[in-house]
Amino acid sequence: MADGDAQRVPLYLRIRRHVQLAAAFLVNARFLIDLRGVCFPVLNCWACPTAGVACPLGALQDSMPALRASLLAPLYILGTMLAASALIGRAMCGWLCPFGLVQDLLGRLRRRHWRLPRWAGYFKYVTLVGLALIVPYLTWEPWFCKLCPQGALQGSIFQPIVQPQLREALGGWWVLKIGILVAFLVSFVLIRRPFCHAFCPLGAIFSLCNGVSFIRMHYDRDKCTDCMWCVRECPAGIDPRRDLGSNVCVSCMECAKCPFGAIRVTTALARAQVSSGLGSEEAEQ
Amino acid sequence: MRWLWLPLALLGIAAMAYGVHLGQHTWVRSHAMTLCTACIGLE
Repeated sequence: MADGDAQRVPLYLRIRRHVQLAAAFLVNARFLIDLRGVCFPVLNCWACPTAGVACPLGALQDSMPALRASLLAPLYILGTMLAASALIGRAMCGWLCPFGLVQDLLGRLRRRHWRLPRWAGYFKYVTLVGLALIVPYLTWEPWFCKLCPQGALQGSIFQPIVQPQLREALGGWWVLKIGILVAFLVSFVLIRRPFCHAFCPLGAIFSLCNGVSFIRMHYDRDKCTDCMWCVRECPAGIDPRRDLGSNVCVSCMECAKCPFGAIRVTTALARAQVSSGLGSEEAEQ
Repeated sequence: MRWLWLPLALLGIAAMAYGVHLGQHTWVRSHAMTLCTACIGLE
């Protein structure tokens, strides 16, 4: 941002890490306030000893027996996710998700990162439909939870510590979960937000509204100098010039710090439209 | 597409409210209060 034309970065874009830390603390502050009836739309395992809110994915999978037995749709869970994603898209992933924070922090350990191909972003829909919907519907077992690295990080490690009687039940499945967690933690250092990009079913749900949510991003091709600043800085490892508001964008809004003001945060009420795609010339109406 | 967020948000809020009316939040709470052994890999 040493350029003379550097834009002044708004305060709200400078406090993302603080918001992430505060959110991670608050959803795990059962000792302060117990809101386990509330599905807070982030990936935060409710098996964690300190979890103060319900995991929407865990609740969605646990609702499958009721759906199968009585066709009672989990309206509360689905409505919560739909309302949240319609209002702020995937900003939950970029600003509030504790697992996103873990990925961001580990990603800072290395300067250069590998990038996942864009098509890998569609794999999270396979995870959503397969592991979080169809298989739990057929087997009445929360199969995504059984493999979830966030559950391993928060529950598998801490529950046996605070409840020693659980240690007798640790076995091969626990070892597998810890192995998955370790593999993901290593990948977080090497690749930017790989779990959000290709695996998170919750991110898959939120990404459906990412381009049409109330809060959205605007790319101004005319102001862009192709300096690649946004590509280097993007915590999700995408090219914001092309993938802004797409299913792989986590709406962290880091690219809105663009020195040339080519990318900015806007709302659906603004007269400018969301632009996604190199070379698109979407002028302000 | 500019206003699509509005009916989606209203639909979500309505579904959420009806779910609360049906008592689904208490069901979620009861599940959250029970330790999910599958989530932590216990056999």
